[in-house]
Amino acid sequence: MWLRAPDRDVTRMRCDLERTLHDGAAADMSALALELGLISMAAEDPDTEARIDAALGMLRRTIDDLRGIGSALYPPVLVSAGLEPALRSVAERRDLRLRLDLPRRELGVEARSRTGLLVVDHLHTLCPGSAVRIRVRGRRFVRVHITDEQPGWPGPRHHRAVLRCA
Amino acid sequence: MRVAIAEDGALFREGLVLLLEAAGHEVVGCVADGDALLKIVVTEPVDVAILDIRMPPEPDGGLTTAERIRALRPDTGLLLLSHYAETHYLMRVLEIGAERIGYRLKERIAGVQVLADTLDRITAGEIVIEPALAKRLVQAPADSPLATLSERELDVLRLMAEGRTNNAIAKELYVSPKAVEKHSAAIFAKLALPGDQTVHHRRVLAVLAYLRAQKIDG
Repeated sequence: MWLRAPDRDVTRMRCDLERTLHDGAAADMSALALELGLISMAAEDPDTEARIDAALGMLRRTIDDLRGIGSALYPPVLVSAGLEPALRSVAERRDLRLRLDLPRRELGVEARSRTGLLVVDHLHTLCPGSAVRIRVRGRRFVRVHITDEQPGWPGPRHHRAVLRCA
Repeated sequence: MRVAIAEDGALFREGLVLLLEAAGHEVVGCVADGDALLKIVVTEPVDVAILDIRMPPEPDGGLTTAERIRALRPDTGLLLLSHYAETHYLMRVLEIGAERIGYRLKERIAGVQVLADTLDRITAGEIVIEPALAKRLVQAPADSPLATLSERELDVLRLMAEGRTNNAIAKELYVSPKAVEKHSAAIFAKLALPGDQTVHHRRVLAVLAYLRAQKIDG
């Protein structure tokens, strides 16, 4: 089965959206959490304190949700650390068993971003406990081969993609 | 305690100053990037430097600045903050140092007690790891060697991965430090963990390296 990689514009848009989320809503909510912590400290009756703590708990859960959306839009370590840490991070969160066979030299920024998003999007479709093998080769023409085995499925599935990168 | 902060989000930075001051700490510097923080740390005595991981110099200025501070001022404690709990960041933090260092989620330190506990542990020489990350690392599939641990041993392992000492684990689980020692010995034996479990930071490193390897090899 052939997979389609996100093009340059979509990749840039996803990266920008993650950054907007990180620097905007997530940053403001973390600041709000600090503010609630301060108000809780000044609260004089246990009832008010308990209500503030409950609000803080709700805020933390919302920030957790935002974190999940941000990671799915664009894994935060993809540009700064590379393909391997980004894929391992997603596999760890989704409880996937990952085998990676990646080029020894890190791909260029565009190839890394588009390849990373292609694979990450596929990882997000798999059930927890799935075994996944990912092979990446090439630089200008990046060839991706993903083999996944999901629990309860009859056998492995193979997915391929070729990306032309600048 | 004398604290310096580098954080590029103005609202969070100002909130952190207020929280630190409310907790009785002295904020000796409050800046928006790593280079400015470094200037403060080399000229002023600072007990703990608090750094946002994702700030200038881009992309992860908090990590590069923490490395430089550790090289220039090894006695200064370091608390790295992030919006994300990433194993990659954890490994980078541990490369910078295994003592007087911490890595926490920003919104999880939003309380005077939690913040004070985190800073006290760092100045006492401990490693402080974000509990949400330690919990995720301890979760493992049924065929993992971790599945051979009892529920109580998994609790102890999770708290060890947070960088907690035996006394702190005992307090958290309402058991005696002796009981924690027994659980710790059983965990090290069952998982065949290397290293001296009585030396605190080596124990934390051994546990984290093992948990990380389980996730990679899984």
